[in-house]
Amino acid sequence: MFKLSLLCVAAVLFVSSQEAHGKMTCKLPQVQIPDDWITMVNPCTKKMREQVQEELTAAMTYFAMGAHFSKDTVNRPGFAKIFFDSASEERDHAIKIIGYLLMRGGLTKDISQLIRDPQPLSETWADGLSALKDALKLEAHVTRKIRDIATTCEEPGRDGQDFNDYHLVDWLTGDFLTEQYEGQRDLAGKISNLGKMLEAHGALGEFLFDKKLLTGASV
Amino acid sequence: MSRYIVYLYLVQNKKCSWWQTLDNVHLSIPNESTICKSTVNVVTPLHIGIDNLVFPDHASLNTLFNFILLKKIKHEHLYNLVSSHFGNFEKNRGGFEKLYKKLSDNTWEKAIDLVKFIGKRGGHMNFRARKDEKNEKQIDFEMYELGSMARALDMQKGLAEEAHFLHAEVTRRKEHDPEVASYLENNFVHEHSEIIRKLSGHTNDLKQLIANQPDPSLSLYLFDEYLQKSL
Repeated sequence: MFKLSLLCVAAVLFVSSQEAHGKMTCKLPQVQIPDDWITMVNPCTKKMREQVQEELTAAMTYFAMGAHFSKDTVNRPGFAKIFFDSASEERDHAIKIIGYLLMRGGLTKDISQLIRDPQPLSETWADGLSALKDALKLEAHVTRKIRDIATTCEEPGRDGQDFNDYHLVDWLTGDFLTEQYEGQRDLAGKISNLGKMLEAHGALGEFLFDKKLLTGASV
Repeated sequence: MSRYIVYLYLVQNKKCSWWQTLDNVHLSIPNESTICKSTVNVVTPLHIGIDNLVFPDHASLNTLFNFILLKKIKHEHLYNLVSSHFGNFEKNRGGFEKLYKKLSDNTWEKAIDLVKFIGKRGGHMNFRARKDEKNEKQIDFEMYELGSMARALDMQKGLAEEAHFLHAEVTRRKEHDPEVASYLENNFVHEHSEIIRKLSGHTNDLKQLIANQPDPSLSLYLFDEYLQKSL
């Protein structure tokens, strides 16, 4: 009842304040902008949009890894550091893809569907090695997705929509794939080094490895 | 309209924080949402509204921290989307794009910082610790300049509200935790006030610039240019 009376007071206030104020316009006139420069075709745009979510899912997974290795019972600050760095990197990738779509005249509608609450793929890991292995699998997955985009954008293969998007594919292979392959090699190397030590010197191996990661040494 | 309810509720319960006085911004904004027929509900209630601010008693500090972190991550994504919206060629508001990009970047950094802090204090992160946010509406991103800033202001206030609640929890005599209180003050509270004050200033400026104008295009253009240069 109290709430109801408040509602009435609010309603009265609302109406009276409306009358007291002048007109305000926010919507600007529609401009006719030629659209023949917007050449990206649907199947390709769709793949690129999906990639934003892929990259952010990767970002959240790395974020969860960072959180896991920051726990006092886990206490691997070096691992936490590289995973937080990777999380920011993946987020940057998502933003870069958005930037590209904007540059090509995209994202004028349906923007809310671009990021759909990405969730980490996992929240705990048995040890540093298993997290590194998961990271490598994740990177390989992202790489496959990027190749997928390239395949689709070279031959969208729809009636009247055949548009070989040289520029997009070049941008993807040049900027993204290079980074992916370098990142994958780096992770594989880390897994190799840590894995070799693990059999005979499990706890000590991971402990030392973690401190190396913390100082930014290449391991 | 719900803003009025929240506002009145605040006054009635003498729960007014200083930044609630910045609400005069909101009190006049319903005009925009009605006259501009924007589907954006500019006067959305604080998401962690006053009514559902009280967490269940058994909720531990860890859960509260999880909530606030998840909220930050959500905001980070929203700011990113709003930034992209203003970056498309039809909107083409580089200043607004930059404003929200900066908010997104800042929120992301703070989220990482926060999860480190949770680890530092022996907590853990549960990404599924979602609070029931049934009041949360689907955001319409076809938003205008003024509406977007009012919306951001609301989001920041919601976050501040939660940080204040958390601060109150750890400063009560029984659970007194000076370190958490200090962390919240240094990393959240001051910064929140700053952001809220800035957004409120922008919103007021812009509101005055476009009030009583049949065609606000030049005002918006100049304001956007100002944002782009000043940020």
